[in-house]
Amino acid sequence: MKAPKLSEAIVGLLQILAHGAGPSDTTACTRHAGRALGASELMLPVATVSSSWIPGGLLRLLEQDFSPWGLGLAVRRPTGRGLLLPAVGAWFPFQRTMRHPTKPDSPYGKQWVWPDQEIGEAIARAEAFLPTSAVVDARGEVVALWALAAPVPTNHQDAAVRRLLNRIAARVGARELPADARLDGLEVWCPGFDVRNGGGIPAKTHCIHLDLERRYTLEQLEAALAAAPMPAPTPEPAARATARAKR
Amino acid sequence: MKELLKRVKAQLSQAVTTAKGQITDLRAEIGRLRRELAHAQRSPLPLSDIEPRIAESVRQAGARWLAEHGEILVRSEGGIGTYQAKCGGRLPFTAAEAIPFGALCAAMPDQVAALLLALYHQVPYEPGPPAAERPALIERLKRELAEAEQVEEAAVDEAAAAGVVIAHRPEVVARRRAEAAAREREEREVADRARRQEALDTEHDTRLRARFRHPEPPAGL
Repeated sequence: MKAPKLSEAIVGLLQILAHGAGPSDTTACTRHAGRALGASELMLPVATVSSSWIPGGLLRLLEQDFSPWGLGLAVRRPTGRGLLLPAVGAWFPFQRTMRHPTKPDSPYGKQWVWPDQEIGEAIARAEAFLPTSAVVDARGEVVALWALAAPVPTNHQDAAVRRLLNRIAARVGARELPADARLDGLEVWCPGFDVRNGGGIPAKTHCIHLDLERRYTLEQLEAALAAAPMPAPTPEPAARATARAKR
Repeated sequence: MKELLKRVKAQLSQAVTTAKGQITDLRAEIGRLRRELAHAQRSPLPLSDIEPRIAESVRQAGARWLAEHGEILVRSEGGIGTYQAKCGGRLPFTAAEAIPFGALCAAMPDQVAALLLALYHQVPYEPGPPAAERPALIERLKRELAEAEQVEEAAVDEAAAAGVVIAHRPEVVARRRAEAAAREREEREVADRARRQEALDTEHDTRLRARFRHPEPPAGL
């Protein structure tokens, strides 16, 4: 998989997230840290995200702000018209672990590192379920997206959509949605910003893979969900278990 | 040979004069159309249109005055309409007070309308076309004006291409200058945006290159 350039990734993600939306709809971009003063939410009208440029407001943020920002998965429609879901996703949470950076089982040279092997395996599980439209790696959380051929009109508490997302999460071994999660709060980390939970030199969120041509109908998703169950996730490495026990 | 040169020179001079004359005619035509359009848009209406408007306005003014003050006529304290009024009751207006125009409109609308119309008849003015004809007329004049302006602009461009330099009308010069400035600004913005995006891409790539690359997934997955 060849990672796209940052600008291509952001423009592509926005195109996936604004697919099928009307000109008066908006994609929300939200800040996830109180480190800097200023706006904590940027509303991007769909009319501005359909061009081949990074929208001006977001470009300024990328140049000036280092807080993690997330792009809303669901498009917000004018008041009273609910949401539009242009893609479904799976969220894989990860924590830094204390182990050798390249030899997980080594008892020596331990340091806090991101579990790259587990992250790679999670992405592979998502790809094995259905080839993804986009994968965003924010280190602390990896988001796999499957773009829908036709966006699904929904609302903040749509039980059917929540069930679908939870079934996909169970299928690929991702995190289930919290019981109180609203669909307008689901987010894809925006590439180019610092990652959440980063320590030391902050890493950047980046898009590992992007394919705008991959779009799925709900029937295709159902068929993939109905297929044979996935092999069990790789067991947790001993070093990671030890680190957790120590914590 | 000299004769031929003289003839060519005369023909060229005549062509230039003709071109200039035609453009002058076009400009005169544009001026005429603009004057006609201004007249159609701003000239006063003929009396035949004013008469029904006067009657309607008088009726409305009377109705408004009655709605606001009518009840006072009969219910005012000590007024002529009260049961135990002193000295036969007070009139709505004092002897030294002018009657409000609204009261006149309410009481004698026809007379007031006739009064106003008589005033209008005595004012000398040049009326424009009737109101009913104006929308179509204005639309036609605007269309003809736009066409004439376009033809004139194209003719000046053609003349310039043929070597006869004639200045464009000031509004054409201003518009072209504004268009050029907008185009230049847009190009500059695009270039600036491209440069900023490129800088971000480079920085991001540099940061990522130092990082761990995801291993290939196991064969079983």
